[in-house]
Amino acid sequence: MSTNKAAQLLSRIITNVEKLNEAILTMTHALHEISAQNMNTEIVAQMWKNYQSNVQFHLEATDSLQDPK
Amino acid sequence: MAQRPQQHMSLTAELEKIEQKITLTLQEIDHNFARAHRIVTTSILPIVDRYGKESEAVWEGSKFWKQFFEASANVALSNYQEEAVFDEDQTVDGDRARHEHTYGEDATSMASSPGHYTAGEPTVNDDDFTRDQRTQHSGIHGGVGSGDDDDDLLEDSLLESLNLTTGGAMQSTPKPVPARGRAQAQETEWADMESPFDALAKELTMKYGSPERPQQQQRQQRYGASASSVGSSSMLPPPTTPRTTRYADAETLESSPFRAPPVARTPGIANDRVMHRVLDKNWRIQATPLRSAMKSRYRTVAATPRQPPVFVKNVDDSSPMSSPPEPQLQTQIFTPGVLRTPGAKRLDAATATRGATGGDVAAREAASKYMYDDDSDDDLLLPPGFSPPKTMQFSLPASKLMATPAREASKRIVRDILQTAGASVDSTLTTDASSPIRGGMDDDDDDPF
Repeated sequence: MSTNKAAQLLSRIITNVEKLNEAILTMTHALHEISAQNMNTEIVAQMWKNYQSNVQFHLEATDSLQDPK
Repeated sequence: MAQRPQQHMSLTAELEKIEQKITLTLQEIDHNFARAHRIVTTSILPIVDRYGKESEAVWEGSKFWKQFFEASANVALSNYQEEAVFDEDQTVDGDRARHEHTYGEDATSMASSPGHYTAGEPTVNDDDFTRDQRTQHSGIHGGVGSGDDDDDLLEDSLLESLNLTTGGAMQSTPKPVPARGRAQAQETEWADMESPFDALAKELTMKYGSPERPQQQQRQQRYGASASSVGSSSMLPPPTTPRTTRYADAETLESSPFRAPPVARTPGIANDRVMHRVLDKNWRIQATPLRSAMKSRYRTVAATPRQPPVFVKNVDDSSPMSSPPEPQLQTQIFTPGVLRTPGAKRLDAATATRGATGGDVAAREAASKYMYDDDSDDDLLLPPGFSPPKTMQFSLPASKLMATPAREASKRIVRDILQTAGASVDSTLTTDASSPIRGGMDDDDDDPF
């Protein structure tokens, strides 16, 4: 009796785990796509950051760096 | 005699009790899995979708600047992914460390259970978790760092700036960042913005009041603190896992999608795990230099006084971003007024030169118009993935390529042929002069180019 119940519960658990796994895979896939897409944005950000570093260096080297007004 | 049935009864009752407990536990497990599934499908997935849409909007906004920078640096940047190459030792070590940790938590539990880390374990073990993670990361990084240095030495990238991981743990092409640049990069402070993951975690905590969540957040914060401390010591690598095991990633993604947030606090340093290391894929950035187009363009422009030769030098320079004169160049490029005029002058000069050789004024005007349009296309009208210098590459150097190296090439070819035929070098030279091929190529040498 209880063995049967345990088996039923286990099968339920397995089904739930399968569903959860599927959902997680979907999420992973979505995140993967988003990450790949965000890489371009990150490249742009990195380039701006480097540009800012270069400008900063140049302005400091030429003593023309002014405080923001 | 009466004692025996009583004992039997008590045993049966105990057995039943245990069975009930087992059933209850199984029910609870089932309930938890169902709840997890519900949370993932109803809460997380929509948020992820929204995140994707917002990211797309951000990319739409910054797309122009990527093309702009590409046109400025005369390179074509593209991402491509490659399968991660794992170091066997690291794999084994990582697994071992993970399993040690698992056994440390609960020797009787399933060691490889992905959800193991997220289960609300006693707080005592949190330290172990953090420590294990830290050692794992440091170990992995130690192995990878040296490899990356080698890669950096081998790869000649024009844009050291594209070192997306700053610490070099990523697999991008760039050269190692010079000490000054690295220090500056470290100095850069990032706004203390709440990452989407944090928001998500908070929202879920508020919504479901999960008892595990605060612990996990605490754990994450601790982990994040260690990560940022590692990242801030300039020499040490980001705590990312550029080359870890499949299990590492699987666990990262499955066990706790929220583990990334503290890492994302310092973009460019620590968010590479999600950004660049997804599902056993290494993401690389490919910077394709468009040298021939630039050289030909600026060679014709040599007469223009405003054209700084520094630019050409920078194109060939392997570390343009670190040289002091470079900001000057950038300033010129980025000043809108200056951007247009010298470009137009430059192109006019270029087309004038070209037109003079052709001797056709109408063609010169038409060409100048075309060239101007082409210049305006540089930043705005070209589709992504195409940079203007690329198109120039095909239109311009064709005649030059035909003309200039032909002589050398023909010499070499004739010499090779004769040498393989058994002639000596001297005879090669003598026959070279009388060679019909050579004579044919001399005609080409009359070409003004």
